[in-house]
Amino acid sequence: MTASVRRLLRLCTPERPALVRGFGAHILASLLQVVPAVMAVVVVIALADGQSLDADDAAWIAAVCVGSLLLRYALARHANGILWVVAYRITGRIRRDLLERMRSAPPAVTSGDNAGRALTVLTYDAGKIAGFLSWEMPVFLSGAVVPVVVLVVYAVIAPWMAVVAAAVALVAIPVLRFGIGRVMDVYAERRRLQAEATDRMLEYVRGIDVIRAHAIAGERQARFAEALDGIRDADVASVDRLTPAYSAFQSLIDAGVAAIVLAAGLLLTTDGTVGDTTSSLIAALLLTTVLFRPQLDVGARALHLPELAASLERVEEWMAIPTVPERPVAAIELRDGGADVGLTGVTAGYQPGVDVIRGLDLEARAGTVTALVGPSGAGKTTVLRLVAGLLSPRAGTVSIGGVDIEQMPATQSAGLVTAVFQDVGVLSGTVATAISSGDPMVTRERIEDVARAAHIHDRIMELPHGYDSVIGEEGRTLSGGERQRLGIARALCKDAPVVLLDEATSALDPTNERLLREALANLVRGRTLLVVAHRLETIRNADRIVFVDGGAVVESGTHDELLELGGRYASFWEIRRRAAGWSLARS
Amino acid sequence: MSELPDRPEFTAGLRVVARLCRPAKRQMIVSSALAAVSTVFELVPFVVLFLALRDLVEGTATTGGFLVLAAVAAVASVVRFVLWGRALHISHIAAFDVIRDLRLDVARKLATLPLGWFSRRHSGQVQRALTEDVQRLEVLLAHAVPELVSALCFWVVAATWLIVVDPWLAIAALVFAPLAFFFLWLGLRDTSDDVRRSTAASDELHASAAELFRHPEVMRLFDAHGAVTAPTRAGMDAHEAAEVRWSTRYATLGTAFRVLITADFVAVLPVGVWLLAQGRTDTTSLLLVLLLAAGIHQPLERAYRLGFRLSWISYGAAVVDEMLQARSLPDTDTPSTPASDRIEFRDVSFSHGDGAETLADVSITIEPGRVTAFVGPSGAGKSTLVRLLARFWDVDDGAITIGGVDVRDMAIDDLLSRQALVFQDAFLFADTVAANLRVGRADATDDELEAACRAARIHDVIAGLPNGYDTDLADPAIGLSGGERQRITIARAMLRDSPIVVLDEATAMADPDNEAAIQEAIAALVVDRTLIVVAHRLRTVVGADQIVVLDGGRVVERGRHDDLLGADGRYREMWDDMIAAENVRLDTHDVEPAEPVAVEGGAT
Repeated sequence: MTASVRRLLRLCTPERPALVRGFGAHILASLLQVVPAVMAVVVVIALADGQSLDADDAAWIAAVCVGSLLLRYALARHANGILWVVAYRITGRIRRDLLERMRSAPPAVTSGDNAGRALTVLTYDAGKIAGFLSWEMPVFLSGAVVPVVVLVVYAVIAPWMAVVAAAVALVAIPVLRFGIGRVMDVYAERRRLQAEATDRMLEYVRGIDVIRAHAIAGERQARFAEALDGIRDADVASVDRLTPAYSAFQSLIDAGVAAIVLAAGLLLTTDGTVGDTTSSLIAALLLTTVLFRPQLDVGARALHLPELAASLERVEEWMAIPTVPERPVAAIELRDGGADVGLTGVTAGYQPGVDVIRGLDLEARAGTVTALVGPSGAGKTTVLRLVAGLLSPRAGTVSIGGVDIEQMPATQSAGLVTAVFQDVGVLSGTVATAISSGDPMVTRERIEDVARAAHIHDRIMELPHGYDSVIGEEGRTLSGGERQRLGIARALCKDAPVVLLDEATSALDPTNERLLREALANLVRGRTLLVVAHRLETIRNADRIVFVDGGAVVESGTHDELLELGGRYASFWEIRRRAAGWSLARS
Repeated sequence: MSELPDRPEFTAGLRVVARLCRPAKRQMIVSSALAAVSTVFELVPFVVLFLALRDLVEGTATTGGFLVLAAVAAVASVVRFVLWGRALHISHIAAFDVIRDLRLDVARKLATLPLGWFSRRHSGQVQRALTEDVQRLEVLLAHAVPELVSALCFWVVAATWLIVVDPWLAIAALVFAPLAFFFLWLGLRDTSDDVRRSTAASDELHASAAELFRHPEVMRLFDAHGAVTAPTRAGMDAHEAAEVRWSTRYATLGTAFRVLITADFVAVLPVGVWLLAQGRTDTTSLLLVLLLAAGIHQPLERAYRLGFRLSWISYGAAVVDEMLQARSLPDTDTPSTPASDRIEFRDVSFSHGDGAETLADVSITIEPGRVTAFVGPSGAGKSTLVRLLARFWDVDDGAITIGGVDVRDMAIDDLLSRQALVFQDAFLFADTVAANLRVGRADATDDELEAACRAARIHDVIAGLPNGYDTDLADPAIGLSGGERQRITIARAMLRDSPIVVLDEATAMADPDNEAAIQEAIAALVVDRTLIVVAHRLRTVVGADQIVVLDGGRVVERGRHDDLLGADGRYREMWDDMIAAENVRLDTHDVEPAEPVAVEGGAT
């Protein structure tokens, strides 16, 4: 709990003054909430002591009560005006800050298995902070302030009762903690089952075509139902575990009344009084419910605290990613302007202990075409990812212009490479921004030039607002082939010396296919190309063809040299040649 | 977000919620009854305190009497929370059951909807309905209903007691509650649009961030000027702005509610003193009223949190309900069985409902045992056409018949058992290889699985997996390539053993090491069957008995390869584009492309 509070304070450092003002006002408002109760105590003591009260007293009491109410409203309104706004500002700031850090972090931090975690932290976890600051925290504070003030009043008028009341709270809190602890174990299992069931649900929706075509809805639903039963059972188990401990906590707090009455009974003398403090005892009994009832609410909210603690921990973990790269900021001078690529003894992989690339050496000289060929799973795409800096080698170095890219500022190494991957990825904003990647130095003229070279200009001109048309979610207004060409235009527009190209395996219709291939040919002209090719004709003229298998280079040379060699590439070429002539026909 | 149903009118929303929760009615009644009974015990400490106070004021208090009172209060506290815990336990289980059953209902419904229904929605929206929107009912059933029942019971009983004791004091004690709820109602009414906007912004933030993290390479290489992360940043800003906006608007009235609902003694104390001074009430009554007034409204504050979330809950319920109420694909009561497998598309017109016509007056006859290929540019309607045969949608005009029987007059299982579909997207379930194969035919024996996989040229790959046919494909370490997954779907289709085979771009994979194997697999699949193929790669269909060229939803040409090539029409253009595409060489040296070289083996 204290660790969470410290985390929260650290995360909210810039907004601390506003939070102090907001919570300060809130605490004052909570103190004022007790004023009418204190007045009630004064009145009851007076009455019990046999004093009589008149209409003037009523007016005076009314003035204090209503005055405190209005002042309390003003303070609470002020507090909420600050807290509710600053809470969401904090979440917004933390989200933007996290995104900045994720942008500058090595891509491995936010990709693959980490992508889901990055998403959770950015949306759910950061959102929790706002919820806590604006809703739970104020309830906790009021829930603490009101009983503490009442306890002070108790201490003044009936010290023994104060001791009893404090003892009740001290016994109840460990019971609640115990209950929460028990549930936490089940929650972990519940989260696992929930994730599994969610996967099943998503799979069912994504596979609906296959399910329909095979009339297997019933069978898939049975699997689905199994997963749902899993979550249900885990849910029930968590409730089963929490209910006894939580009921015990609530009973204990509620039994505070019994304890107070008991204490009062023990204080009684035989004549039914407590000497001259009977009136104080009466007042104290009156306040009993004010003392205990708020604590029940605090207890209910406390059940959510472990979740918040976990969120805070994750946010802080991600906030530890440095914004300023630790590498040197000044750009390093590169050979040939950074146009040649070299991999030396590179070993790399995604999952711990599994190397996809093993001790690979590769050199792509400036201004040449280097084609990577090999069976699927050989590690071809991983080579491209290494050069793009999406993956750090476990051993060896990846260099551009003779310098290890890990030693360069991240912006420099990212600036040396442009790419077209199988999936075009995010295209947002207007067509013009998507092509220029938002670079303000790129003129409209250049944007149109690259769009022409990418064979997408004519299609853009057909859009309602031409280059100013806004691309829909994932560019839904454009076909797959058109999106790919837009991706090529974007890659062309970024004037980087090295081009990485991962050819898509699926075919387009012949016209789109021709436009795409011509666009790619325009993209690579005058640059250094590293290409993963699936259609071998495309790279027949490559300066060097590198055959990769099992994460290492098996053979390399020109097309003719490799055919001469009669090795793996030659047999690949032969298979490909035969496959190209295949046609579906009645035999 | 514009595609979501409009925010339902509030009471309509509640009716939907009530309908969805009807199966839990009995459990909820039991839970509510327990909650109501527990309120009786909630009142016991008040009675005990009152009796203790009265005895003290009247000087009749004794230690023994107090001990009895304390014992009664202690027992009541235990009974109260045992009952309350039981009520919550039952309501939680009711909620879990309702959620599970609703999810199953939605899943069942989805299987009966025309697939056109899906194309009009983001798959994300359907997924969210099934996961989050349904889940929202948990808050309502598990917590809100019993809490509301208990809060109202407590308030009504306490209020009645107050009125019996002293009507004037009762008014003073109760006056703030209606006022507070009036402010709350005003506040929620004013900000309901803001809440909706905030939910929409949150959804958008989630969607754009998810998209961003799916493409770390784009973020790395093209975000130097922040254009790639811009939508995510905009989502953050929009969500923050919406939250700040509603908070600011809600602060005045929302604070009024919270302050008034906890203004326990503010009115009752001065009024009580005044009435006492006038001699119109006595000390004991005032004590009782003060006692009850302290915290009488507190349970109602819980109702506030519920009121706050009700629009959120009913919104989710409306989305789920819309799905459950959607029109299923109509099934026939008197199915006919076709005598042959001759397929006829007669004057078929179809639109996806977005205004543009996807197919217009398409008439094609497909003779049994023949190969028919559909070619044409993207968006020509090829995939839609072949899917109409499996009733993914129903035609708008015209008819599709098999052996002279309209597909709409066939039993759906009969219709589907006559055709095996292989899609370009090789979708496999996160299940074992064998389970995925048995999707084709549930009762296939192990030997049949193996035979199909051998024919589909995938047996050796499967045999090499850690657990062979029992290998779980959900395991991330099992990285089958696209071509390998495609061959499993071909084996699946083979097991189906249907007279008609439909290949939708299934030959488009160009992975050289897989291509030949896929071709052999497909050749084995189509033996002695009617084959309908949608193809981008023209070379794969040059031997077809009939090539149909679609463009803009119409049949523009049809015939055999040689005839079409000679006709010098759309097909010829596509063929020339293909040759041109094949001759593009990637060359970084600033020179014109090398002279065209025809790929060997191509039929020209």
